Amino acid sequence: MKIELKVNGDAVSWRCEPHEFLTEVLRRHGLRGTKRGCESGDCGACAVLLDGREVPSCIVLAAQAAGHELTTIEALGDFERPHPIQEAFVESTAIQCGYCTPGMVIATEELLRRTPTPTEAQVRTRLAGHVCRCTGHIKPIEAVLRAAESMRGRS
Amino acid sequence: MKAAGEPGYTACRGREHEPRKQRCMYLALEHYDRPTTVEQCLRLLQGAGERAAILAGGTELNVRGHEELTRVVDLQGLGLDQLRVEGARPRIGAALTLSRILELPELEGAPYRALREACAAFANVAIQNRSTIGGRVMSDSPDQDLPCALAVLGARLRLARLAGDQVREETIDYPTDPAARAALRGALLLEEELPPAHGSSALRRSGRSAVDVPLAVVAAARNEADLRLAANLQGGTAAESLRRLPATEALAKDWGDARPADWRAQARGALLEELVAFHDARASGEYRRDLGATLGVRALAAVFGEDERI
Repeated sequence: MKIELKVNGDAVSWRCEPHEFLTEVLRRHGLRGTKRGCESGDCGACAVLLDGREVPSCIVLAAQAAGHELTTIEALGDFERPHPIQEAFVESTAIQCGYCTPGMVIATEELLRRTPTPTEAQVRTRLAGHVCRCTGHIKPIEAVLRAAESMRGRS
Repeated sequence: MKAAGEPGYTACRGREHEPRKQRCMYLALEHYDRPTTVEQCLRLLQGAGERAAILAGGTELNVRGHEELTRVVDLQGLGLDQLRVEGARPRIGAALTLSRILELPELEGAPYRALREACAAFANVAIQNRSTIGGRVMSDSPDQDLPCALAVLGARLRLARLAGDQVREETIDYPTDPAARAALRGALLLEEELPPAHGSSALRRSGRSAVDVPLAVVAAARNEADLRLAANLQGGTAAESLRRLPATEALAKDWGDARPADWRAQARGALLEELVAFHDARASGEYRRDLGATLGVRALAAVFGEDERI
């Protein structure tokens, strides 16, 4: 089947099978910042923004995304021009193996867009669905608070 | 099976598999449909029988075994993702996500607090962004919180089903026991209707974090005319355990605003009598019952506007 949607600002028309989930289709089209993880919506590694809201792409059929707008980690920033959230994760050394980081950055983007001044409790709640297999859960919380401060400063 | 290195070889979760096209995760879906009318939706489901399923948020599709499905019928084209208020009664579209319910100004305030607390307690924010209230109600394995909240709020469900060539709609009380839940089979849930905003409600649960399955959940709702209590001590067991608690409700209703000084002890005693205990590897039945009684007293204190400390 063919699906039409917007991905990172570009209108695309992709072929997919009815049983395929977004993670697979995104990665097939080169958007490999979206990681495969638990494949059951529990770990957060595959998080993307669907119409501006964070969703686990491993439990959303690609066909369900037709007609919607997707944002993946690639749209937020890159090595040359990192997003302030990515900078904050680097500055806070909130990255170990890095596998869970794109999902956490995506979650942080939605959090800070809706809640520019989050409390630590809000950050913890927000990151609750993101599992770091290196068990580094403290530094990302610091990174989100740092990113919030940095983004407030810039605006 | 292709060997590692051969074209078409894939590995998934550390196990070797045939290429994903043949065996993508656990699904063998052949058809995805997005109907635009309720009738189309019901006909598609009827045509495929047990091999078709309604797709709302899809949070369970890749989680529980659904190998038998060949068709999913997506509800997003039916316009069920809206809230309507008719005659002061909020009607929550079945496809509204838990996140959006938490943002609706019409559901703010004390009367619907139990519903908001149940939505906020479910899984994590990303899942709340996908999971719909209709999906949670119609799931074969509903979570513990939302049924408790809907039971005490006196929610009613508007359902549609095919009767011959016609689409027939009916509105039923939220089913609180397994026999009544059977009435939901084969139906498409359109809306959950809540009573007008009066009084207050609360939900108390034993889970300590967003990913913790609670051992006990108790909800209470109170207005000038009524007081309702419901408990779910399921805690990860397979048992259906949502129950209204009529004896404790009657006791608390009799008190009205003139509660005796020892109302907490009396309520606790009544709850311990009434709660049905389950025993499993996670906790003994007695522990669950005791926890349920404690949470019940706290939920009552919340709707009485009193200090929740025991």
